[in-house]
This record gives sequence, C-alpha cells and structure tokens, in this order.
Amino acid sequence: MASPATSLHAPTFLRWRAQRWPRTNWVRWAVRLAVSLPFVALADLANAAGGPSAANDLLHRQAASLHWASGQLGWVTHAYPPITIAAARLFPGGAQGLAIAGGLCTGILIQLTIERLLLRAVSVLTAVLLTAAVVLTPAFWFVATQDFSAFLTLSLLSVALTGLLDFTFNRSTESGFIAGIGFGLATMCDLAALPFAVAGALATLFVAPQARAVREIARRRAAATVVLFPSAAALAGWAFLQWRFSGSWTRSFLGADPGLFRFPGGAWASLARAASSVGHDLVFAPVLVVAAVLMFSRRPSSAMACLAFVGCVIADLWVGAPLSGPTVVVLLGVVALVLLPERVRASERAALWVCVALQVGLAYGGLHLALAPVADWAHRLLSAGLLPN
Amino acid sequence: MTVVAPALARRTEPLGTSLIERGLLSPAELEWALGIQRVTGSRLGSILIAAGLVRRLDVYRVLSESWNCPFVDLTVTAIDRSLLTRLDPHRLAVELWIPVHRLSDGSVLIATAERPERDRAQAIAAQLGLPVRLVATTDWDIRRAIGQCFADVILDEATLGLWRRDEDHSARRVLSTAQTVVAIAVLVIAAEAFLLAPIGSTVILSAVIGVGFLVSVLFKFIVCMVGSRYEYTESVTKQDIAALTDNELPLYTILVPAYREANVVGALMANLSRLEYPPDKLEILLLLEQDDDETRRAAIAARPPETVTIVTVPPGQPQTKPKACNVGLFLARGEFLVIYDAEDRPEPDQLKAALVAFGRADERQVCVQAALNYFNAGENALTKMFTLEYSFWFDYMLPGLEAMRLPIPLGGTSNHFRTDALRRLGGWDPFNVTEDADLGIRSAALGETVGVISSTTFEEANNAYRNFIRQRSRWIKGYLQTTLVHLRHPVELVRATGWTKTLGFALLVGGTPLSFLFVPPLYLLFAITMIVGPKSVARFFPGWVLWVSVACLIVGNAMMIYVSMMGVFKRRRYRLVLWALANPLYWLLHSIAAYKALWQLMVKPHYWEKTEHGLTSDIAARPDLP
Repeated sequence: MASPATSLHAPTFLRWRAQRWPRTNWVRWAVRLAVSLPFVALADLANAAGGPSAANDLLHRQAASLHWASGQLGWVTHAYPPITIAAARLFPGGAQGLAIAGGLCTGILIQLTIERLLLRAVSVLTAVLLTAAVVLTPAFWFVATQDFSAFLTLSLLSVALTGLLDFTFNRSTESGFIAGIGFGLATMCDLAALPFAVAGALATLFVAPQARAVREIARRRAAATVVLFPSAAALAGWAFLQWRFSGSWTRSFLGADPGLFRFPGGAWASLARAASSVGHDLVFAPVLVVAAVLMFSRRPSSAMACLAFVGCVIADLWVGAPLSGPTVVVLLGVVALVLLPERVRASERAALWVCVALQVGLAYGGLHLALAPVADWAHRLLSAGLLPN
Repeated sequence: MTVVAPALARRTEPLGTSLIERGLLSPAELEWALGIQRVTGSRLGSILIAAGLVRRLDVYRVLSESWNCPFVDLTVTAIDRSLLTRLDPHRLAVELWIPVHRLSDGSVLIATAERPERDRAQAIAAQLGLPVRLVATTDWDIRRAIGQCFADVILDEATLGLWRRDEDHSARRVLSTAQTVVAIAVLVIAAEAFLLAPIGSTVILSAVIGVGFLVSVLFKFIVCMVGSRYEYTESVTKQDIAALTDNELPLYTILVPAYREANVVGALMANLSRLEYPPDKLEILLLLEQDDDETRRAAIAARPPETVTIVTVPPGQPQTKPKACNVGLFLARGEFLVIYDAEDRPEPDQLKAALVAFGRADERQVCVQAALNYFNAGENALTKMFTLEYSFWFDYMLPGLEAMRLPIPLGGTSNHFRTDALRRLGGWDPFNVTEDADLGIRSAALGETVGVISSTTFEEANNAYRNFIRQRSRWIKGYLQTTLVHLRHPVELVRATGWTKTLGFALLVGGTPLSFLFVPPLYLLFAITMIVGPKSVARFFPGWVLWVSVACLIVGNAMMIYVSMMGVFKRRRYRLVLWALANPLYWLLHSIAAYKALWQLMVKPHYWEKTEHGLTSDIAARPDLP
C-alpha cells in the first residue's frame, strides 16, 4: 500500500528549494545584495536630485498619521494596506527609506527570476538577457525606487504566480503554500492583487491535467480553495476588524483607493478604456506575447493563464484600482518570465532574443509616448546629470 | 569446577529429518522452510515455529533429543528462586537460560533454549560460581519463567529505573524545588499586581495572551512551511527497501501495549501479519495488564502466531502504557524495536523503511518516527478534524522539525528505536502521560537525534467527544509534564542543546498547551467585541490591546486553518479541505481538554486517561474487518 503521503515524483519544472541558484544560502543573499546595490544607489541619488517620490511620500505620510496606541480606534480605517503601511512605519528615513527598501527588493526579485529561468533549463545567457529586458528599463527603475507599494505587490504577485504554476501542474503543496500566501500578502499590500488571486483560483479549476475523474474535480475545488483562502481570509479579517472598530466594512479600502468603483463615463466606457490601456501597455511587453504563444504551443489550455492574467490587469484598471502605467508595464514584463515554459528550442530562443531587443528598444524609444511619469522622472534625473545623456 | 554438559551425539539427525520421521512435518513443508532459510539465513526451527508448521514445544523436544539432553517443562517445574539472586534477568533473557534447582550432587540444573555445548556450560557455571548440568527447554518457557521469577525486579526497573538513574528527567515529581519557588513567586506577584493595578494588569495579561498565542501558532506555521520543502525528498525509496535482502535483516521487536482492548486485539494479528518482514525475525510482545483478563482471553481466542508472546505486566502503580513498554523493553531481544497500538495498521514495508533510515543515519539517531494517519477519517466531524490535524502534524510539522534540527516530540506509536540506545536513554518515563513526546525531547537533551520516515501507520481516529476530551487532556497534561521536566535546569538545557533547540522545544511542547489555554480568553474578548462593541470595554481594554488581541486571534486561526488545509491536500483527502474552516471550534475542544489537563496536573498528575479504541462504526474501516 503506497501512502498518499509518500513523496511526490519531483518534476524537472520548478524544483523550489530542492534546487536553488546559487546553491548556498549566503551566496544567494550576497547575489541579491549585489544586484540591489545599483538600485539602492539610484534611489538615493534620485531622491537627492528630484525629491521624494509622490507615491512613497504619500505612503509615508499615511503611515505617520496613524496613532494606533492613542486609545482611539478610528485609525483602523486609514491603515489599509497594512503591510506596506507597517513597512513605512518600520523603515527609517521616510519616503527615502521606502525608496531604498524598494531598491533592496529588486535584488530578491531579480535573483528569483533568474533562478526560476535556470530551473526551467533556460541557458544562463538567455536567462540573463530575459531578465535584463525587464530590469534594464526606466519603467523598472521608476517603480522600484519611486513606488514601494506597487513594487512590493508586483514582486509578491510574481512569486505567487510561480508557485501557482507549480502547484497547478506539478501538485507541489509547497508551491501551493507559496501561491496562496503570496496572493494573500499581495492583497494586503494592494487591493489590486485580489483579482489575480481570484484568477489564480479559477485557473486551478480550469487549467489542469486529467480533467474527467470525479476525484479530480474534488482536487481542483480543493486546490482553488487553497489558493484563494489566504487572500479571502486576509480581506475578510481586515474587513471585520475595521467594521468592529470603526463601523464600516469598506472605508479603509475605499480610503486607500478613492477611485474604486467610480467608473467615470460609465461602466462600459471604463472597461473599453481599461482594455485599450492594457493593449497599449502590451506593446511594451513583446516577451509576454511570445511566452503566451510558447505556452499555447506546449499546452493550449495553459495559455489561459496568460489571458487570465491580462484580464486581471484590465479588471483592475476597470474598477479603478490604482495601477499606474509603469507598474502595468513592469508587471507584464515580470510575468512574461514567470510564464515562460521550460525547454525552449533554438528557434524559440532566437525569437525571444529578438523580443528582448525589441522590448528594451521600446522601453527607451517609446518612453515619452506612453509612460509620462517615467519620462518626467527620467528627465529630472537627466537634468540633474544622474543619467547618461 | 564440574560442568556437566550433555554428550552431544557425534552425528545428529538434522532437525527437519527428525520432525518428518516423527510425522510432525511433511517433506514439502521442509522443502519450503529450507527455501526460506536460504533467503533469510534464519534457524530452521525458528522458521517452522514462526510459520506455524510445527509447535514450539515439539521443535524443542526434538532438539533436546538431538542434543542428547533431557527436556524440562518449566510450566510444571518449580524454580528455586534463591539461585536467581545475583543474576541479571536481562542477560538471562538474551542468553536464554535459567537456573532451575540444585541437584543432590551440589550442581545446579540449568534450563537452556540454546545448544548446550561445553563452552556455554562453562560460561554459565562461571556466572553462578557453581557446577551446572544443562537440560533443554523452550525459549518461551525461559522468558515466561524470567517474567515470573523476576517480576519484582522488572516492575521496579520499569517503574523507577529512570527515576533512579536520573531523577531530573523523571516526571515522578511534578515540580522541582526551584520550580515550586518560582511558581509561588509568580502567583504572588500576579495576585499583588491585580490587587494594586487591576486594569494595567489585565491589559498586560491580555497583550501577553494575544501575542503568546500568535507566536506559538506562527512557530508551527513556519516549521510547516519548512517541512513542505521536503515533499519531493523521499528519504527512503521503494528501491532502497527492495535492495535489502532478508539475510541481512536483524531481529525486530514489536511492542504492543494494550489495556481493555478485547474488541481490537483480534485485528492486531491480521494487521501485523501484513508486515513484509520474515516472521522468524520478528518478536511481537503483546503487553497486557494482569487485571485485563478480557483482552487476554480475546488475544488467545484470536490464535496468535508463534511470533507473538503475551506478556503480563506485573501490577503496580502507576498503571500506564510507558510502564508496560518498559517491561517489554526489558524482555526485548530485537536489535531494533517499534511500538504499535492494538488497532494500528502500519504500511507493510515500514520496518524495512526504518532499517534503511537507521542505516543511513549515524549512531546518534536513536529513533525514527513514521507518520500517523486515520483509516476512519470520514466517519464524523471529529474524525475529519482529527485527520486534518494529523495530516499537517506528521506530513509537515515533523519533517520541518527534522530539517530545522529541532527536538521532535514522538507520536504515540510507530516510533522505531535502536534497542540498545533506548535502554541507554532509560526507556520511557512511566510517570509521564505523553512518554513518547518526553522521550523525543530527552533524546535531544542528551545529544541524540530523531528522524522521520515517509511511511504511514493508519490508526482509528477518536469519534466520540468525551473520549476525545479524555485523550486530549492526557496528551496536553503530558506536554505540560514534559515542559516542566525539561525546564528544571534551563541553563543546562541551553548548554547541552543550544538556544535554537531549547527555544523550539519551549515553543512546541510548552507553547502548544499554552496556546490551547489562551484560546478561551481570546474567544471571550472576541465575543465582547461582537456583542457590546470595543468602546464599551475601552476602560479595561484600551483600543490597541483589544485590536492586537483580536487580530492575533484572527491571524493565528487563519494560519492554523491554512496549514490544516494544506495537510489534507497533500494527503489527497480533498473533500476534507473545507473542514479546516472548523478549526477554531476544534481548538475550543482542545481548550476544554487543556483546562482539564491543568487541573489534573495539580491533583492527579500521573493518572492515565484511557482512550477507548474500536468505537468506529465505519464498517469499511473497522480494523477487525480486514
């Protein structure tokens, strides 16, 4: 009798923890630190040149305004998203401290991204080039150093999506943990992460091998529950706390994102605008398009993951979640690397390299056309002589 | 010194031939047994007895003839106990001999179950300091005689052996002097604080309870996360097990302590017969209390195979499972030893998996723990919750503890030991009602290690609420005992095991009962916020205290729900995933048991709350219906 708990067959795809890159713990952290240092320096210099970023400054002021030990309870309504607000309270240095924290996070995101690609049998050169296509863009620098909340959210979403793929296709419960917790934490960083968690749960229902058996249906339902539970519990718990301590279920959510559910111009017009905006941003992420095509060629049903992801971004923009253009572009770029299937053939690799070049070219060439905040920020840095002209 | 060993025949008939000549064995059966012997290397007699082909008595009678040695039936022969005074019963059990009485010529008649060669006779004579004359008997007779003649010694060793060896590692005394002083001081200070500053004290207590609960749960959650990394790590593979040859397998002792379990003891025979291990290399000791005639009758009625020996545990207090196990340990001959409950269904290759794990580990690894799970998981709400709990505990928690090199509190059954190492550790503490958890921690405290294997034993989940409370109150009381025992000398503990292990032990073994004790106050606060609102109690509970307490409760419960969900998901019991949402109610049951345990720790610290088995009505899962 084989035990149901007998260890699973380790798939070649995403052997989290079993195979790490770099192998030793301290080397991994050293790589993360080394990679993050330029971004930390950039955060510091950008702050010196152009003053604190608006997003980080707003987060810092929101955090500083909370008097949680005062005996009053109303502060709960201003404490969403709790994770980034807690971080803003903890990190010294106000908005600049948040910019440096964002810079440090880049090290972790970049190391995890390269590790993921290497574990999927992508060559080191291709992995570095693919990562560079996202990292060596002004939009990435901008989000990392100017919007800590957005960067932390997209980093957590990247980790959660990686786990989700492994959980769905390889049934690794560790990855299930990572996916669920990643989505849950992201939801506590930004409400915009919630649609991704819902889509992730739905993906486990519809995108999985062996569709028919009754037991398989039970498994999918259970998998969807496991993916969604942390986000649902976090939101429900937070809603309950604010209801009991302030009398409103939703005030802190709406306070954090005042544009939520406003639908300027009507629901349909908002939807069209959101779809158009995302379509526009997709131009800056050709690697994602190629990744989707590769996924479709390997396993047609899994291409739904790409569509669901893009659908989530549209849904976020439609309901008014504060996803800025640069954040969407970086998110699309990072997710492309998450979704890239394993064992890329030579012709596919060539296509990817072309897309990498295109993506980097567009990131610089099309900056002033689409990403005004990044263009302004870059212009300020150029004026201050911090970027090569 | 005169030594009279029988003059062994120069050419004796082989045992098999002698048995055939006497009509006790057929040639085909002999052929089969010889085939087994070629594979296992075991003695032919042992193979025939274990297979039930020839009665033990017949084998030894025939052997006695071939040894040219009279046979003595110790069940009807009185033993002169004055000859036993200076002998070590354990050594007698291992060497399989016992003095019977003095002969008229001044020599001593020795019953032996081993070939009575001259060297053996000389060695025995040297031990006794008297001339000896050897006669044959069965190994069963010798062990039974040892059990009867040394009942007092065995009982004393089983009960007070650990206490004598190391008083501080025994739970016989609940609190040490220093602990008593500290406890009184804490109580006095707390009482004074509540008298002088009731509100401030309440605030501090609330915050401590809330944060303590969260820290305890967070620790478990982190360990489970680490444990989940090892999902792909198969410590022992089927190939590893297949590579073991029967020839190299050692004698394995299985201890089965049972008390008032007549309804499941029959199934035990069927469950153990499924073990893939040569029967002649198995020694199964069914440990029954003297007053438990019902189980004894049921065991005999089940016609146990010859590998099973029914051992009567001498009466005396405390009447606990660990005391029975110590008696079993005293008599055990196996190089390795495992403990199973009467209703257990171990996976057939579990003994071999344990051997592979021992073979890979260094000598410091005294034990490997197999996973436990339930065969009647779907029976009712309680069995479902039990399954959720065990799934995360054995599939995530223990592998996580092992990976983090933290002390592992052993689970009630399916702990496999190196027998010698277990004896060195002092066996089980009969005064500790979770002797298994205590042993795991004691191993760590003494620098030994415990591992886990991904093999499962299926048990019967408790399906009755009163029975559940009884069982849990014992477990929680045992955890409290274990905490008190091992924190008697905290500085020494830190010095011996390091900060990490000490902290891990404190959070796991001490934190678990505390978190159950903390649940009712937290639920009360939660109810207050629900019913009267936080502003009404703001005088006693400032907003932030209430907020932190309720947040800790919510976050802690969410984490426990989540690990429970993942545990059953890993076990592929998908329909149980949503049952994890009932975990807060399940914890309330634990809290009831925890307060009962706390009370019992004060008034009846060594009382063993008996868990009834065989209550399942899940017909498909009934252990007595294979």
